[in-house]
Amino acid sequence: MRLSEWMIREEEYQPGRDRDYFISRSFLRVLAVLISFRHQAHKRILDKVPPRTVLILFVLWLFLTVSAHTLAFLLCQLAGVLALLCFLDGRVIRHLLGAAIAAMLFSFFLLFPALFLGTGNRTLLMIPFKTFLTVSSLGIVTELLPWHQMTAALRAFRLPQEVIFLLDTALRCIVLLGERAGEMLTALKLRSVGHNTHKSRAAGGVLGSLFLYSRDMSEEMYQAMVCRCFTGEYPAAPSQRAGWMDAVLWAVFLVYLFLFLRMEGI
Amino acid sequence: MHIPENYLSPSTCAVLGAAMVPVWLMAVHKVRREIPREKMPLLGIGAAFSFLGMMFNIPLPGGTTGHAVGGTLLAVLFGPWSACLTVSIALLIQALFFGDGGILAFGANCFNMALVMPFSGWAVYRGLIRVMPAHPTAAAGIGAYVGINLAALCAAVEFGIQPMLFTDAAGQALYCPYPLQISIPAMMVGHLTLFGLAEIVFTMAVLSYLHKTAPALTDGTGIKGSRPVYALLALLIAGTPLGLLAAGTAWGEWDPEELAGQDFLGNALGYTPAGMEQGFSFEALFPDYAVAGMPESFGYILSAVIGTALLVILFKIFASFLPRSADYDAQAHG
Repeated sequence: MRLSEWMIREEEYQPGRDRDYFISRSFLRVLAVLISFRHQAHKRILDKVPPRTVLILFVLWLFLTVSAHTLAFLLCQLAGVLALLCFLDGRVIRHLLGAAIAAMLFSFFLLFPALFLGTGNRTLLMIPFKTFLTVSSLGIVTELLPWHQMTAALRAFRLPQEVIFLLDTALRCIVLLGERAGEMLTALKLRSVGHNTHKSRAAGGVLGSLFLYSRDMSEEMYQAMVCRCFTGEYPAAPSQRAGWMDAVLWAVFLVYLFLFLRMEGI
Repeated sequence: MHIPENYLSPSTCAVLGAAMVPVWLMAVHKVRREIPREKMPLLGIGAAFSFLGMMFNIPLPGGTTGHAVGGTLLAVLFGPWSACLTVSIALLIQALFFGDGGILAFGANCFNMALVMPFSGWAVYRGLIRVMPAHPTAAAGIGAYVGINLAALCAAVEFGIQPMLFTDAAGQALYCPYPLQISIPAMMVGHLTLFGLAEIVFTMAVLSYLHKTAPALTDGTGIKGSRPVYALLALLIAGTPLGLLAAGTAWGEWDPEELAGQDFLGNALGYTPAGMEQGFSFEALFPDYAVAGMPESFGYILSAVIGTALLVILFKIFASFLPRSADYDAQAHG
């Protein structure tokens, strides 16, 4: 049997060079956010951390950091932060310290011109150091508490219901829409063979359908809420009895308060 | 035994530093190949033990002080290459943050305490274990004694050759002014007696404690620090102010001003060597483990916490860069 011409022709299709790196990049970015959310929601180093106490003490801790004038007290806080970091996973420590050092360098660059305006070296070093401490402490708190526990604990601060509702739904929607965006970007990537001349249209399409999907999702969510008799009110969780963990956290904080009063000479 | 800045000439420091570069490269290579990623944080804990051991100063009649190092202990627990790396990093943290040991003399200090000590101690331990397999802790103790003494001898020789090699036109020493006939006896008397004994006690006490509370760690199968290990670390940190009870400075670790008043040749030295006066100086964050505006003992504890935490964090971050090792024999979950 004689094969037709087109069947015996050697395949020599070479897809044209296409600059679609932005698709891969946005895809990876979406996935990175999703991974960090998943990790944040599940992995806990300590199960019995009382979220309300942690948040209250965190705010007080930050207050001590920003109002300290002596390097000695900040070094005490540094010792506490480093000791807590020891209990985290190496990869988490790397990300956390990376963010804290970046923030510290940024504040240093912002303050750098002040050196020529007659501000002492002391202030120039204290503020970046405080930035490092606050950012790394925040990192540790987010590592200790999952999002849902944090939003629940916000009730203790008498935050308006609407704010908590928005925060809560925003966090959930980011995950759901992120998954959807990931699927659509995968589809776009798989279908983009050869040279895609309508890249901007394709990317716009992804965003457009994502917006439509989010609108549908909000409608469905509203209906589901009505069906379940949810009126947008977050009842405060029944106050749990303070456990030993609360006592330990408060004791540590009181030690730091004592050090603060002693070293700041108040 | 921490040689401070400017006691050795820059050329001596350069030679010893250059000698250590291939050793460090080899140590990193060996650790990467032989130590699983999961065990890496344990090395950080080992380095923290060594760091804390060096904070416990013991006084010797005559006004000098000394301390245990724990190099052989780490070699027995993790192998000599890992011990070399961990002690080097502990020494680096001490030099950078606490001003204990010079930055220029870092290579020399590593040569003595991170190369000579763990390798010689480990060799003696391996030799003895063949002769008396029933007493591994005693073998480690003897190894530790030999290790610290050989390291002290190396430090004494490094000190002692300075006045032979580097003098000014008036014949005065430029760096460490004491020749071999003074430096060797002065260093060895302390190390052959009290500091050697401290090293034996530190090594044997920690080993027998770990043998009882975390046997997986001493036989090399354990990969994680357990509660008793952390408890021992916390106990050592809380006990570090004991090191302050020893007044006086270790032999060969005086400030240049202190040195002029030292009396080892029958009369006081009377001058500060020129190389020391005009030498390199580095301002550490916590000079001599003290924090300005804080009681000395509290500053000591704070330094211990920060040093220990930094070592554990460094090794954890290092481990996070290593590829995850797959255990094909593990039971499948789910």
